[in-house]
This record gives sequence, C-alpha cells and structure tokens, in this order.
Amino acid sequence: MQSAVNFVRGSVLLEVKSSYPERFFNLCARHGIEFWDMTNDGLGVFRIRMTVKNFKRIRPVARKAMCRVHIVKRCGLPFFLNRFRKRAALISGCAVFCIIAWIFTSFVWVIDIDGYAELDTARLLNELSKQGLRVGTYAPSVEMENLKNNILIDMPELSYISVNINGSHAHVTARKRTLPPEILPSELPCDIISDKDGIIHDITVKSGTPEVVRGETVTRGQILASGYVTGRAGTTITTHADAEIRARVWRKKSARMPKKYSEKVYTGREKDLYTILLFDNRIKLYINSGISYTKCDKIIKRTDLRLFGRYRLPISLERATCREYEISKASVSDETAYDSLSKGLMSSLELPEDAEVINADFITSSDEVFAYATLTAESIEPIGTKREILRNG
Amino acid sequence: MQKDSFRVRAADLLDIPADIKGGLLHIEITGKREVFIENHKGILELSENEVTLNAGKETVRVLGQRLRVLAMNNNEIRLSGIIESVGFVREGSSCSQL
Repeated sequence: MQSAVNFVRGSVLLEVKSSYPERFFNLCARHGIEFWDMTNDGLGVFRIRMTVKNFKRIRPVARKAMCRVHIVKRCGLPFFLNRFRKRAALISGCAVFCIIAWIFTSFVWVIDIDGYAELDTARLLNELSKQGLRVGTYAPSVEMENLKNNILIDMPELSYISVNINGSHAHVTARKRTLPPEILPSELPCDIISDKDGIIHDITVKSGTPEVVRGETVTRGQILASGYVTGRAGTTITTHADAEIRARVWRKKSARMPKKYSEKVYTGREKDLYTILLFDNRIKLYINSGISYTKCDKIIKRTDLRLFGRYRLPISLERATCREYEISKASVSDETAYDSLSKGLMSSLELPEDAEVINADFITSSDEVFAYATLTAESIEPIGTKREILRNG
Repeated sequence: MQKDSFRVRAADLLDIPADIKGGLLHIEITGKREVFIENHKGILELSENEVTLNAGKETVRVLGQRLRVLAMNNNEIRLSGIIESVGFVREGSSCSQL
C-alpha cells in the first residue's frame, strides 16, 4: 500500500557522497525531511529515496553537511505524467475522449425488453417512447416512477413493469397480467348445460339433479344436471349444481393438398449487401441497390457491435444475402400426401386438456390435382358448463 | 550513580506507564530482521555492520550484518538487516546488551 502511495506521490532516488554522511542524515531528520530505503555501497556512497517535495528542501541541508547529492532516478506518477506536459494534442485528445465518453454514457442507446414474449414488444416500445424513454433519451431526465405508473395505466394487460437504466443500457422487464378464469360464485344457483354434442360416457353429480344418463345422446345447450332439487316433502329448491361429466365427442375435419407444387431451387448465385445501422439511420455500404435476380430470397443477418463483448452499442452491421432461385415443378405421391394430411389434421384438432382420443378414422381420396383426407376423431372428454338460474324466470 | 530526572520520578510516583513518559527511548525488535527505535537524537555512526545512535543520555549500538536504514525522521528510525545485538554503550566500557 505504501509503495502505491509513494508511486502516486512520486519519489527520487538520490546518491549522497560525503566524508561524514551521518551528519547529513541527522540534519535531514531534524529538518523534517523523511527518507527511506537507504543503501550503502561500502565506499561512503549512500543511496536514499525521498519524496519530490522533500527533495526541493534538501539543498541548504546538503550545503550545511558539505556533501554532494545528485539524483539517480526519478520514479512515480508525477514524472510519468510530466513526460506528456508538452504533448498538448495527446492531453487534449484524452480530455475530449473523456468528455465524449461521459456524454455518450449519459444517453440511453439500447433498450432491452425481457419477459414480454406473450405480448407485443413493439407496442411496449411505442408506449415507452410516449413516456419519454427511447433510444437517445438523456438518461437522468427519465422519471422512473411516473414512467412505470403511466405505462401500467395505459397498458392494463401488464401486471408489472420495471425499468433499470444502467449506463447507456435500459433494461425493461414486463409481466403480463394473468386473468383468473371466470368462476360462478358457489352460492349462485345454476344448471350444468352441455357445451358440445356427444354421448354421455359417465356422469357423477355432486350437487343438483342429473338430467341425463350414461349412453344418452346430448346436444349443445341441453341441461345435463339441473340446479332444481325436489325434497322429500315435495318442495323444490334451487342449488348450485356440480358434476363431473364426460362424453364421447366426434370431430370431423377435412383437408386437401395439391399433388403438384412449385419448388425453389437455388442457382448458387449470391450477393451480399451491407448496411450500417446507426440509431434509426441506415447507411448503405453499396452503391447499386438494384438486384438483377428476378427471384431471390433475402436473408438478413444483423450483428450488434458490443463493447468488451458485453455492452451493446447502438451501431449494428446488417448483411443482406440475396440468394437467387428458380421455380421448378415437383409432385408428391399419394401416400406422402396422405401422410402429410393426416399429421396436419391430427394436430389441428382443438382438444381440451383432459381429452383422450380413442378412435381416429381417415378417409382419403385423390384426383389429378389434389389429395383429400377426412379425419373423424372420437374422443372422451369433459363436457358441461355452468349457467346461472335466474330467479325471475 | 546517575539520578533520574524530575519527570521520570514524578511519573514513577504517579504510576504512569513507562511508555508514555515523555522522551524516553523506545526500542522494538521484530525477530532478527528489524529494529525500530523511537526518540533517538541522531546517528553517530553508520556502517553495514554497526549503527550507533545518540539517545540523549544513552548511546544505543545495533550490531549485525547488512544493516540498512529503512526509514528515518526526526524521532524515529527503522533499521533492517540481520540483527545480532542491540545494546547501550556504557561510558568508558563496551555495550550492555538488551
């Protein structure tokens, strides 16, 4: 630690030649001139180290002690910096660099949004921009609390938002509000009605009166369990019906697929077009923007410039690769088309969570142009939804 | 026999620790490598094998090998090297070792 302090303060290594060096050292001590690291070469020549400040006071002491003192080495930061005293351009360059670095780090250059996959990032960015946080905003001018409150008011689908500005980097974390499912209060009288057509597979009524039995065909809107319960005395009361009902439900889906189609065949000719993105400006690094290819795919790869591999700067390099292709006609066999159609139809079935497909029949056919497939899927799944019984009828 | 000063006698009478009696020589030895001497009055002799210090009424002699002054100011001196002995020099005789 002391050596670091000495380095910052600066020190000089002196050579002292005297027939009676003890007198010089005693005078130094008496005058408050501290020194350290004394070495002796054995021939009456001593080397000592002292601060620059003390060295400036040593001349009368040396004269009084009748010794010769000269500097062997200058060490430390003041001497290092002194070398640059005459290099005005270098010093002013450093100063300009510091000022530019300070100015540039005072602005928001990058806005990162996290946790907002379900919603529209562009909308949130737009909202942030309205509230005064956009690329190029002076960071200290952003009022965080107001910004967060206003965004939560303007975007009711958000439950939480946090904005942290770290240097030139604004990190926004937003969470979508998950609305609870609409549940009918348990004290309200209700019926359970069918929400789809099917055949009852099993029914367990916890409360209310069952209106259907196993194996019975039901249609959409039909009451499955009634909220009216008749007591032993013959009185009828209303209750909140509750039941677990599962039914066999059939779904029918059809699709067709062209047997002949157009296929891209890349010719192997490519052209790269580079663009620099500086904030919202695009600087094209090519002169002729016209692409001679009649048909081409444009693959854009954007590389962000990062400082130390971590801090993203508002400068990006965009490479647009244009790959020429030609359209060629291709055809598929019936089997391949049926296979593809059946996979597509199975994945397009909109089944509820607890549904179990017990049977899936495909009917396939084809003509010269198309292959057709029809899926009839049978599943066992929960049915029934609650409907409030209105007291006035 | 040398008589103690009034200050020393007063401090003894009042049970004041020797450490804080003003002006008394204070010597600290760290192993065989370092000696720290407080309240010295200057160097009398300085060589690689011997450092003699003026301590007012006493004279302190440090004997050793490759002795060097690590730091020095008006009151304190820190010596390093291979310390062989630290002692007071009696008038007209050799030193009494600590």
